[in-house]
Amino acid sequence: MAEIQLRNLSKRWGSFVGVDSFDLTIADEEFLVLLGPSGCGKTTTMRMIAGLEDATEGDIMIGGQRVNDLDPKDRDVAMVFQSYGLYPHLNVYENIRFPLRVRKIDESTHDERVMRAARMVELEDFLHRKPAELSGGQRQRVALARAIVREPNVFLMDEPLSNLDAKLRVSTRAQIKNLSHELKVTTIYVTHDQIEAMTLADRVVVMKRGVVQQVGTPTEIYNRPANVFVAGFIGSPGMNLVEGHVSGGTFEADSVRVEGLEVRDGALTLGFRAEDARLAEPGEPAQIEAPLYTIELLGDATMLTVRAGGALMSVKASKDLRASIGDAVSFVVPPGACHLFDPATEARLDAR
Amino acid sequence: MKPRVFAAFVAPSLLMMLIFIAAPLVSVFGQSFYVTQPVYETVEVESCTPGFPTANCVTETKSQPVRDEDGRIETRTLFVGLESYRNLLQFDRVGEYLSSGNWASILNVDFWAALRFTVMFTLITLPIVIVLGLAIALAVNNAVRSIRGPVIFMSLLPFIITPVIGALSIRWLFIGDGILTAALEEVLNRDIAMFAQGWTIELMMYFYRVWHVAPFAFVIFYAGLQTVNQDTLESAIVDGANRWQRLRFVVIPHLGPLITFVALIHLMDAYRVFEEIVGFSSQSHVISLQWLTYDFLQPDDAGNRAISRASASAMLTMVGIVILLIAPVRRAWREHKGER
Amino acid sequence: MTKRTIFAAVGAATLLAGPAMAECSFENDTPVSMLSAGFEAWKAVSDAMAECGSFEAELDQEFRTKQPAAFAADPSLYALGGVANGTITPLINEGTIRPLDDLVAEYGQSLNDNQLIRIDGQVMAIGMMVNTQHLMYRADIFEDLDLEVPETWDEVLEAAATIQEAGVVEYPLGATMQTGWNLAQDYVNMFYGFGGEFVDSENIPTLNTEAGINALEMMRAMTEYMDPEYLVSDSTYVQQQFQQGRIAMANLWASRAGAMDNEAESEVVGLVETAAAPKATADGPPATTIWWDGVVVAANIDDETAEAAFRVAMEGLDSEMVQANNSAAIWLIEGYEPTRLAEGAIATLQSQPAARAYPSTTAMGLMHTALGNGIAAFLTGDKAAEETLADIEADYLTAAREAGLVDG
Repeated sequence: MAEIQLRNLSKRWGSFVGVDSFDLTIADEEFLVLLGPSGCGKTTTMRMIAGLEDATEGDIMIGGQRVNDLDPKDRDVAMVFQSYGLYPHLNVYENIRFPLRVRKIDESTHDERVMRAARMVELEDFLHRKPAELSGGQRQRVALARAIVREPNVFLMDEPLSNLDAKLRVSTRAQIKNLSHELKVTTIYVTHDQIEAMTLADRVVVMKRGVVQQVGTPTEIYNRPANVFVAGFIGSPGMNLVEGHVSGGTFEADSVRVEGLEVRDGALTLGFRAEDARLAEPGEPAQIEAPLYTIELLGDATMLTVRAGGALMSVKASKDLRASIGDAVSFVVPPGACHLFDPATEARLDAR
Repeated sequence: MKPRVFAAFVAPSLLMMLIFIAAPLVSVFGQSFYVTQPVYETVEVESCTPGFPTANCVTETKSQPVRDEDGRIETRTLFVGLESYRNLLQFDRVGEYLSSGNWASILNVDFWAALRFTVMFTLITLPIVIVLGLAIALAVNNAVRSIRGPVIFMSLLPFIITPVIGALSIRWLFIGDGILTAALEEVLNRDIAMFAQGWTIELMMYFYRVWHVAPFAFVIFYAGLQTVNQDTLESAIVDGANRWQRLRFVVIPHLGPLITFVALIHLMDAYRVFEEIVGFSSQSHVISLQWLTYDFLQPDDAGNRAISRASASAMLTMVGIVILLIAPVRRAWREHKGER
Repeated sequence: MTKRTIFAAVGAATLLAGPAMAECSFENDTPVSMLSAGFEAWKAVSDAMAECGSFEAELDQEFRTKQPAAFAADPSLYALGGVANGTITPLINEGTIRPLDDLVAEYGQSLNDNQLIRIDGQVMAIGMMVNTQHLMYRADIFEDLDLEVPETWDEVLEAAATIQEAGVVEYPLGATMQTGWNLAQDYVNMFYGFGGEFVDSENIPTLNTEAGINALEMMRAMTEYMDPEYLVSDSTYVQQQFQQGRIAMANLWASRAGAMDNEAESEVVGLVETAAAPKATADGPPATTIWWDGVVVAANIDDETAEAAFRVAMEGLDSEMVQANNSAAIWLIEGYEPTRLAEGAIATLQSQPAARAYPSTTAMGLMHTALGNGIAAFLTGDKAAEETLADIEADYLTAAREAGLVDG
């Protein structure tokens, strides 16, 4: 069992910075998700942990041992790749057995271990097939089984679901979650999909251009995004953000007016989540008044979008609501639900 | 593609194949069962040739072809069945050698000597070419990017050189006191004559063919290495496979179809070995099937050609290639089906 | 413009045309072409022919393969051909060259009788030079070791042993024993030297005789004193061995003698002398064959072209050409002054009993091929002498049956 520490970890190619001074301690048995748009350095970080990429600077400690100079095979990590990385000429059974075989593990234990791993990912019926004869989801499960079979200290998963179609993604996601609960192995999971991050993670690390933006539980980063980037990246849709001015506790932007904010005067970026606002009752004072830009029926709710303060603002309303594009609509945004950011540093303003 | 369009595209090359490959093949096959020869008559001829100080005149009986009214040589064509094959294979002599236990003497018959060398040449150079080509490809693939270009160029050079020129240049490096022979003599401190006995010539021929063909294998394998699935390779690294295991379980299976391809081409090429025989003037020690056919076709001073035996030898050479190719072709077919 | 300037202009024009046309006695306007081998003598002859105009020569080492087909075409692709006693056979057999008696009578006054190659009484070719393999030796080495010039092969071997013992050169003897044509030719020389006949009147081989075995044994005895790579040594290689001072003796083609004094290539200028080809037995003929090179005229051309071609040929074979290229060959043509290096060839030709001309027969062509492929097995020790000769006879018979020379 292993705790992973990353100390001041950096990766540079010439003057290009891939990962900038990453500092983090990942607890034993923790499921950590590295989240960010492509090119944010999340995969590079994982590859440095795996040993597929050399760190330019900093230390990687696994179970208290510095592993920077160890070969990947000696780090006791298992990795699952986006395009599965299966051995096409070996059948499923041999694919799963491969790590045991090349590590010269006592042959008499192979069969039992392979079968157990296959059972965990429900592949018992496919053991004699070649990878080419499997579906994408089955292939990824082979890759999972191959990682499990070694019983490593650390699991590394590099976007394992992105090559699957939407439906398979959901079921495989559930399977991964269940597996990690069962196996209790420290896991690092890389994704650009914030829903995967929210559903799987004990803690999420949001990254952007090689720099860590926020580290926290899914709830924390959803409810208290540390900056404008995290606020906009997390959630579906992302947080509504509007730039404007505050004077005497009143925020004003084009078509937007929110009173009763506890904040210094000056420029401000105001954010609120779609579900925290609502449609104003007739006659009720509203914070946003604008013509309807678009209306989307989601089934469980209706999403109303208006253009205000130079940005598109979405608000969730009852699933029965119907309106036409161009109709004048008014939204109520409770001041208490608002997130306040400094437009210059983009950092969260309130210390709550 | 519609059948019509397909036919329109394929027909010209099919026609060419028929005219330039199938028809000659059938004709050679036919010729191997017939003998066409002039009709000779015996005449007394007085001929005078220069001498010193006066001409030298002698009368001798000699055979000369009969000519018809048009002044052309009268010929007859006889069906001889398998006679030409028998002349080539000389089973009676082979049987004699076998029954007398004198096995090695079978190689006194040109055809069997040629077959022995041709098959050995093909089967010995094949694995060396594949292993060497793969080794160079791996070395170049792992080389620092900046020296890759020059290395590729250098390793391609032998492939670019015309075969006969290449064989001749190696010959001049080793013949008599050629540079390399002199160098070897210096190192080993003994007299070396590379062209004095069969096995050294044969070694040089193997060496030359490998040197000449390995770049081809290298180019093919190097191209194949560029498409190795990086995820699979890295999976293997993380799974704990060392370099050799990665080569064995990831790289070589990936290159499998290319290895079959190179083997196919090499078998076909090497079985038709010819340039080496000419380039190294190895006729006195080793000959190949292709050279044997060529030698039958080559007219002597008197203009004689052994067309029938040449046809028979060409047919037998082709049969040999077909037999050799069965294994790799079946493999290629399985790989082809397997990919579907 | 004055009269004088016009005269001067005409004079200049004549002078310009002069060098090109002056040496040819007539102006040829019928296109004439020739296909021949490409060595020095043919170059000299074809250059001389070109002076008559409308002449084109193709000097090609592959002439042997091209000639029969080219001459069989109607009209023939070449009016003239350069042949030797071996290569005239297919042309005679196919009847693609014409008898030259009439043309010789009309235009061949300058020819001497020795040049007229007669077959069955008719002049079929005009000889221009002879070539033969004869002894070349390093006079300086022989003088230093006080050796006589050998007259028989036994004496050659003795001299070789002495030279080797003295350590002057590692391998005293050279020979054109490259497998194939060269090796067969050396055997033919030796076999005739021992008085052998290759085939009888029915074209049945008579190779496996005492003469045949003696010839093989003698050749093997020679190899003791030769560079072990003798099976790849052709004329050029032996010539180079001489030029680089690596051998002291060889039975080499007369046409190669000139190269010994070529200062650009040779390190032994003036040191190599020539003598008659050694005899195999003390009272036999020199163990060599006489070769001639000459010109033939195609049959499948009209008579005017043939006439023009013959006249052009006569211009190419005249004394002027010989005087300008005296050392290029042992010329048969009037005006030739034998050089120091021609002595060996002339001695060979004059010796009695006379050496034979290489026989131009179909059977000999097949035999030559069989010999070229078969002799090496004896020299390398793979087969005994009788076995070697029996195998060669078998090879020859197979080929002769296929060619229709021998029945059944």
